[in-house]
Amino acid sequence: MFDAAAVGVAFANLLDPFTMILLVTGILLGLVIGILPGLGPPIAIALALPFTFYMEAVPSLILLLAIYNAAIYGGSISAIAVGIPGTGAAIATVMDGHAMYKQGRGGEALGLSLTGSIIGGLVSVLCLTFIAPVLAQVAIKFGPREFLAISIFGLVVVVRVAGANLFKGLLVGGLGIFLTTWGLDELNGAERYTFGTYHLYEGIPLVPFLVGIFAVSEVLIGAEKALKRIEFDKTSLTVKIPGLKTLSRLKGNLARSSLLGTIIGIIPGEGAAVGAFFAYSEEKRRSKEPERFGTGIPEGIVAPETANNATVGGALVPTLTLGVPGSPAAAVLLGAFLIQGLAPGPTLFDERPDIMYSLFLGLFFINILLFFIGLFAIRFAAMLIKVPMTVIVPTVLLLSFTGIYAVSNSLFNVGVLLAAGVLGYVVRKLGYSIAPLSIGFVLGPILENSLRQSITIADGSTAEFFNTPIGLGIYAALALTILWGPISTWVRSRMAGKVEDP
Amino acid sequence: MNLIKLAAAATVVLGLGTGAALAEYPEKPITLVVSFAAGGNADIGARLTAEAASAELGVPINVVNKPGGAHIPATMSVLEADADGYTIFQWSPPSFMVVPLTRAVPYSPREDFIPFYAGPTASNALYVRADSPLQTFEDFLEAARSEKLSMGVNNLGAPPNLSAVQLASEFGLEFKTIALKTVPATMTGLIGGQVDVGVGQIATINAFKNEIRPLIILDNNRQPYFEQHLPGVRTIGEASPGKEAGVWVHGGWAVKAGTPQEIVDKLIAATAVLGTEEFISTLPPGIDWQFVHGPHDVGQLLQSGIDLYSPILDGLGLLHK
Repeated sequence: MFDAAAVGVAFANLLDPFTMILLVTGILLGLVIGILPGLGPPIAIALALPFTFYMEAVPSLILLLAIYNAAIYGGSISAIAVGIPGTGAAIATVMDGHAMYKQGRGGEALGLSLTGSIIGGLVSVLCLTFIAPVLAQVAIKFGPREFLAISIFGLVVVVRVAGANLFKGLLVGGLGIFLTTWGLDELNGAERYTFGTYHLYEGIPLVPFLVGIFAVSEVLIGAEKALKRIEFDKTSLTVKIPGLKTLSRLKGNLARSSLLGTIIGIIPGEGAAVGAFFAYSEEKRRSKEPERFGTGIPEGIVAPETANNATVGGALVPTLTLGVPGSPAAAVLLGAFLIQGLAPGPTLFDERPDIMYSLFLGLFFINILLFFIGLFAIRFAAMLIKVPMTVIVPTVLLLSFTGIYAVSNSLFNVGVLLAAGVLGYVVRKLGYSIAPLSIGFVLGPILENSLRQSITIADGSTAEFFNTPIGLGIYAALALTILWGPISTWVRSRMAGKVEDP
Repeated sequence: MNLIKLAAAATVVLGLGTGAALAEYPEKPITLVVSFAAGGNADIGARLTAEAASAELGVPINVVNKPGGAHIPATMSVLEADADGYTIFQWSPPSFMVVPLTRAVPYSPREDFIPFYAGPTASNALYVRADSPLQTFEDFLEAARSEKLSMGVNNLGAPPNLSAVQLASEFGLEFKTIALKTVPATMTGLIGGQVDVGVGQIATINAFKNEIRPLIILDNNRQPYFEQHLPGVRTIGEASPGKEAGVWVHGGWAVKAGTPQEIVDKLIAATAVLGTEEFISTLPPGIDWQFVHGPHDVGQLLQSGIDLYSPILDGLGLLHK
């Protein structure tokens, strides 16, 4: 299974000067977008996506992965320095990070978040490198019935974690799926919601839709916010890397948060933000002094920052092996593979092991370089927080428009970009989340095709429809995740009752 | 500034430009519209063709990809441009055969265009997993008669599916047809055990040498590349004399109808280079070729596709009437 020749090719690919330049560019771009409040990893990748169109597969994917990693880390800089999370993934970091900054220990906080991010990133890449090829061997056995199970699982999980309200999540996820039914029915050629225009024969195009949903809707929301001047003290922005003593005290935290982040990344659907929250609350729960969380302690920074970067490697596991995105950012990344004519899935490991190893090795390089670039760039980067919305909004819009038009030479796609932006804006204004919308849109075709193919295979037999051990395992895991909340509450209430009994 | 003089000068320049266009074609870069996204086999083939023809014509040929919309937006964009030979369409089975046969389209491949060159081609073969118990085509027929085998194809209405339908009707078989989006995905489904048999192209074997095995070639019109990729494999007609099997997969160039004859002639002359050994050696191994030059012969080629696929699509209820 280990392919030495492919690893050699991967090294050569990565050492190509152009790829290296893109890797560094990606880290810088990711940092910038991560730091800018509101713009997160999916937007960062979506904005760069159209520009990868004329690149080779490896450089373009390395660029996007560098952006993905750096954007998640970048969010913590604004979280610590001004108490505004640069990305959703950094929301949990605000509590202890900004508290520590206010005590004049900003440098220490930044050092902890940088170190945690790198460790989380590296551990998750290690997991990816070893889990993905094994999972790919299993995934090649996945047929329509198994894909049906995994896409139902992915959708329900996203809906559950994306917002507090299950009903709202289901509604928006359903809207995403509904929009994928537009276009020609692939099985019988029927025209569905084509509104008399052949532009919609192949359905709503993926890339303009995703860029619109993430980037355009974000700038619309950002554009209406009041412009307030952000003031902060630069002096405490000199990074202080935590010493070995601190690290060894935090090693349990680092290990747990890395693994938790990776696992949450693997679950199709939600990504960095959920990973960070889970890790934060887990460390708080385990702590002997939970009341100290939120007052500016290292544990409260390391846990979310380690976990959110660990979701990157995790999210790539289902993306690369099944073609099912592990996070909204990975959903956009999937678009990058498709642009390159590569269909992520189990056979990609057999067909293009060189690309796979390039990605794994590239992620190691990215994390290591991110550490050094992060060290030197933080002081300068923090100034970006001051960039006003009047600059961000037109820049993001310009990049979205030119990017989409350049790829397709189609004004129709620019229209889709705008319409999706407005849709995303309305959805968010009404208090719904766009994560289920985007995942529904990506999983919709897999769901429909696998359902209809499963019905064909079953040929009228319900038993045959469910004759899938892997699929049944996934359904069982789904039932467990849904019931886990109520069960644990019930168990806890029983336990509590017992303590009170005597 | 004397505006009137300037305008007069501009008119003269422009006038000369259009007057000379016929005589000196081509005098500016040509656009080649490709209805596939950049990066795939179709796009690579188009770009290599453009490069070779560009050297003959002495002007750059810029490839513009307009994917999506069942290939109709790309096709229509050529008809929206002038019939001056500066916009060429890279036609393919969907844009010039399957889509016009299956639905109402705002163009007619043979009336609105002058198709003057055909190059890339492909034929289909029936594959099984390497370890499948079906050793021969005869084993397959026996199995398919005793139970409904599941048949993997890429898309319904696409040539591999039409080959499978023809196979079923010629031999009186029934399949559970599973559409798996792309030919490589069909082979993956075959290897993973989701389907019992699958239709791919003859060159598909190269990407899956150890995992799949050909049973039969689904095309009676033997081409040189059959032996190159699948040596010793029989065609349907060779295995069961009298049974029909045909594939129509071709692609090439067309200009808008009304393009002056001199320009079409120049373009036809430029595409002559595409048949040479030197050009063929630059092409990736996944693309096979059968060169046809000139509007008359290409028109006959298109008609043969219409004759082949109309009854099959009609049987599926997909033919647009």
